[in-house]
Amino acid sequence: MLADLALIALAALTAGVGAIGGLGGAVILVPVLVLSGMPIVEASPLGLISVVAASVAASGRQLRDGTVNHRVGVVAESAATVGAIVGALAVGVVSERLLTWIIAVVIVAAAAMSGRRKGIRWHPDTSLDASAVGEWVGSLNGAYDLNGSVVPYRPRRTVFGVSLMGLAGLVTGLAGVGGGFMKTPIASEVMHLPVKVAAATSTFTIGLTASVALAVTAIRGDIDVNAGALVVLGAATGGLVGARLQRQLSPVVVRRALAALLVVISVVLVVRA
Amino acid sequence: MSTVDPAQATAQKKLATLIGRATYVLMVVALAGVLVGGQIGRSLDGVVVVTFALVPWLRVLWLVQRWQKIGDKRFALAGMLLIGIALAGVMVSFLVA
Repeated sequence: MLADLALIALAALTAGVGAIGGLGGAVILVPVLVLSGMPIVEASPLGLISVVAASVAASGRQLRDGTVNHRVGVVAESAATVGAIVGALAVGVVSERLLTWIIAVVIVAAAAMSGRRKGIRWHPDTSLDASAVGEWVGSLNGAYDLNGSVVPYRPRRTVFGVSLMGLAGLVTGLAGVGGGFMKTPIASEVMHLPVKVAAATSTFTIGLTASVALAVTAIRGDIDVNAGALVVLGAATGGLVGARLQRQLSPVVVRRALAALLVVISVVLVVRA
Repeated sequence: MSTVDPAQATAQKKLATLIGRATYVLMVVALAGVLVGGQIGRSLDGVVVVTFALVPWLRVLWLVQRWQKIGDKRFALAGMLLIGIALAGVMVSFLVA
């Protein structure tokens, strides 16, 4: 009973923190479960379940706020999914230890880019009203609400950004980890999406990736659905709370929190290696 | 000049409400599964996990039909491509396994 409650609490905490930055909580949840003695083959599916549950739970709030850019998400996810499939088929080509170090270095670089930048890139446009909030038809552009002001944005370096998403997918496929910790920084720092839009869009796309990975896992073996239900309870709660918190925090705070989280994740990965 | 599709904005709010309510219902079912235990509990838990895994893809299907409806064909195609890629990935892993 105590172990069940601990699993719910852990899933809630990691999913909540993950939902704020669009990272998914699995990258923290799975190592903690493994360190507590759970075999990796049992912990990994629980991580995927936590990502899907938190992604779905957070989406209600994020859809209402108009922070998810589905068009960016769909285009980026197509590249990431191709990369993930290629990566999953090529598992073993690169040593796990080397791969972990590469990911850790990439994450630290992403954290430095996110944390170093001051202020916000996109500023309120007083000529726009609330009806402009959301994604815009026929393009990757859109606008989001920042404390009652409407802030338009226009993604930059789209081809390069989508290519990096494909590379992120390749790395996640090779390493068997979720890609939120790479997707949010790529969307925010390379494609210049506002960090809240990047995080909400990443939350949407990691739900897609994790559900496919869950289907693959189910094909390859059993999933402990009892433990999965406990994780759902925690992760869905975390996703709901994380999405609400993200709405209330300023973009600068979200970006700094993201940078701090990325550093924590890189440390966890290196310790695990 | 913004070009938000007003119909999509309204439909998206309805979708948000639907997903929000579905989340709470699934959480209650998950809790029931945990409390009941045994075969029935396991079945309930299985339904919860499978439903959660399907929701993101149902959302993409919904987006594809919305984009198709408003003539945003490029992105409707991208959505269908994404679904195709994911299905291909699952098929490949099934064959490899």
